[in-house]
Amino acid sequence: MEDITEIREGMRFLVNQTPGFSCLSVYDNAEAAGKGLLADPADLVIMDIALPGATGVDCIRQLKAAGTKMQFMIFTIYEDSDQVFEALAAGASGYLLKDTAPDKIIAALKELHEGGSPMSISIARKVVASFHRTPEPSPLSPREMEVLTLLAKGLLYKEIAEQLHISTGTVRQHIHKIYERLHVQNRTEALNKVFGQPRK
Amino acid sequence: MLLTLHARAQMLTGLNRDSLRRVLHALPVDTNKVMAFITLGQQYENNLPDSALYYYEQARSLSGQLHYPAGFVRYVNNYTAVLNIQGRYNESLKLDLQAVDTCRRYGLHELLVKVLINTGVVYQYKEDYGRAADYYMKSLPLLESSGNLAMLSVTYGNLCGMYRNLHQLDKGYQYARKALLYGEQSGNEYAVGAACSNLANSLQDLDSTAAAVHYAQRAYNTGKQLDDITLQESALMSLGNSYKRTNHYDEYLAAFRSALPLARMLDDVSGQAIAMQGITEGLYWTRQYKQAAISADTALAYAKAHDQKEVTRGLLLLMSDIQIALGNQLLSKQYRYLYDSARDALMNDNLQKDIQELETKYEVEKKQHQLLEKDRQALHQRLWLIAAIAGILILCLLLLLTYRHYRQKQQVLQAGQENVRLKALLEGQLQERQRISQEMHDDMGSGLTAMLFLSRSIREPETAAVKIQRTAADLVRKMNEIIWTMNPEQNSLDSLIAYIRVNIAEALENAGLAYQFHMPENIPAITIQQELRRNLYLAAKEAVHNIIKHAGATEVVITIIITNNELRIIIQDNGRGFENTATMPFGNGLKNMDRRMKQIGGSLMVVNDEGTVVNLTAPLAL
Repeated sequence: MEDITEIREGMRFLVNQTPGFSCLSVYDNAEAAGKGLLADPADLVIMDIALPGATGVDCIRQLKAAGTKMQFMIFTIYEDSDQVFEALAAGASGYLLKDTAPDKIIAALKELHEGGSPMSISIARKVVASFHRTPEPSPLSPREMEVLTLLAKGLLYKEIAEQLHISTGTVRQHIHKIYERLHVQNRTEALNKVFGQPRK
Repeated sequence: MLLTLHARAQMLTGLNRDSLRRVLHALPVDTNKVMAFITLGQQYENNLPDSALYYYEQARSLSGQLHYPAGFVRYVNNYTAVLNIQGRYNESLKLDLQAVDTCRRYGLHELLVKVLINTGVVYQYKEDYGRAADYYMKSLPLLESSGNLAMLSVTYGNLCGMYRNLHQLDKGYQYARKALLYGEQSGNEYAVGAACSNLANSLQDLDSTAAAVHYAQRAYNTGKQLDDITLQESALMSLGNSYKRTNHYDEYLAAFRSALPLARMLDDVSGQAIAMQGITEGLYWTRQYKQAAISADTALAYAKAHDQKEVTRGLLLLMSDIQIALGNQLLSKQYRYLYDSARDALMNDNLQKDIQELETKYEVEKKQHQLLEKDRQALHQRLWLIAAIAGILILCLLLLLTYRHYRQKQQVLQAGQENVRLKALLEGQLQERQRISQEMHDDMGSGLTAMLFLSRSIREPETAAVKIQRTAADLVRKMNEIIWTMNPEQNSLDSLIAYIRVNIAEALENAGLAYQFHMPENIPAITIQQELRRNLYLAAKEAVHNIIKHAGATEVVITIIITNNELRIIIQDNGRGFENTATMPFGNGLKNMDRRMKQIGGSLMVVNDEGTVVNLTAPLAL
């Protein structure tokens, strides 16, 4: 889903060229995407955030609320924006920078499909701050917490992998988990807002 | 010798005293009774002056009770006549002046004429002839308009006396003639007698002795006819003086011997003194020196006792002559000396004393007046000063209060305005940053991305497309950096270090260089200004970029140190280094780094140490 034709068509061409991938549909606005994806779901959705009318974040929130199992990859030019974090919190599993080289785009799509996620230093810091905001005990595992903390300090996946004696793929999987927990946590917050504080 | 006549209501009614007293008892208490007292007093005046004074006092007392000013003035007119005869001139003058006031206040014109004349008379007795003449003159117009010829005659007679005393003899004579004329016209024998007496004296002054004797005789006869002792007395004295001029000393002596008992009868002090002097002089001229000496002693004693200065003086000179005649040269000289002294005293001392008294009095009054004026002025000035000071103080207070009130209001206002301004500024800045970020992201970003995608689809010529692609990618990256520096969420030192680290690591990783980071254990939680953040990050990136491009290094060590007041980033490579700064292959980049570090108050240091060591130091406000 992308409102600029050249990009939208470029992406469709790129995906369709790649063996094992096919572009089921393209949308140029969030409203149409919300309806179309609900009727015709995909495994993976590449979604621009800044759109005329409803945003990509709204669209993700709507589809996740409908119980979709689709994976959302945010397509953004700017990895540190609040909107990216919002989208991740709303249910996106990763993001793709628009200046990423075509081969790396395909790699990122494959990685996401296999359960890996990218996380920039800014996002990592936002996630840390987000988990610190709640009084609940951290929902993260100790290993996930380690990965997140190192990310926030400005270490690369490779460095984290070296330091923790794991593969970079495992680092990405940890990050994927962290996004899921962030999503859950944000959903809990939303529910709490509706039903009040849960009983202990 | 002079003759004076007292102006008063002559009530020659013929009533005898006893019948008057009986009438008086029967009278009701009113103004008529006042007049009755006065009339009764007049009956006693010639021979029982004290009784006269008693009745006059009764008249005054009753006038006071009745608030009858005319009664008071009549009392003054009659009472002063007696006082004058007794030589009590000051008391007399005081009463006369009071009477003048009373007349003027109550408009008693008819009585005022008499009071003016009486005041003149008292001044005359006090030998103040100028003032006396003044008062007589004042009365003349009133007398003429009233047509009281007898009184006019008397007044002219008095004026004659004044001018004689002032040695204007011709004028005196003319007034005497007028007095006789008006006297004869009035048909008042008393006035005629008085006028004759004055004329006799004036004629004597002009050496017309025979004529003088004639008029003096006529005056004496008139006095006898009227049973007026005063007139008889003055006529006798006038006669005596005329006899002296014609050297008829026996007649002279006889005249004064006749005059003395009359003067005694009248209680006329001046008359008695003059008569005694005349007798003494007569004895001297008739060569009865011893008797003359005895008479002179008696006369001197009397004159001194009654303050008759002129007579005293004359007697002293006469006594000196008598003593010569008796052969007592020494006594004579002593009397002569006493005479000179008395004359000097009279001429100078008394005069000077009076002048001094007057001057002193004037000076004292002037000084008192000046003092009072000064006091008044001082008080005035003080009041003004106090008022002015009070005014100024109040004004100052008001100004101060107003100013303070204004200042407080202004300060509150300013503080409020400043707060609002700062808030607005901050909000504005924040909003502006967000707007710029948003627009970069939305418009520029999407445009650049579109460019990127398009350039990828271009096959021919490949190099241009690659350049466009690379430039677009570079622009996107730079934009990301700008947006990062503008993001207020990333303003902590911790965030800055992490961002520098990840970007350097990524760059070195992509370039395939080995790297090592030495990071500080604890990073203080402080915020870093946008300026510092941006410049330090770009300088560090530039250093790494230089290494990748030019150093030919295989390994880079990055050390970040935080001390109390500075942040140091040391980037060391194992490359070829440089020989000197001038030939540095990356001189331009180095200049940029230096400029950036200086801009944030920091410094750049580049040294060779088996490669290159770039030392970036930035100040920290811990």
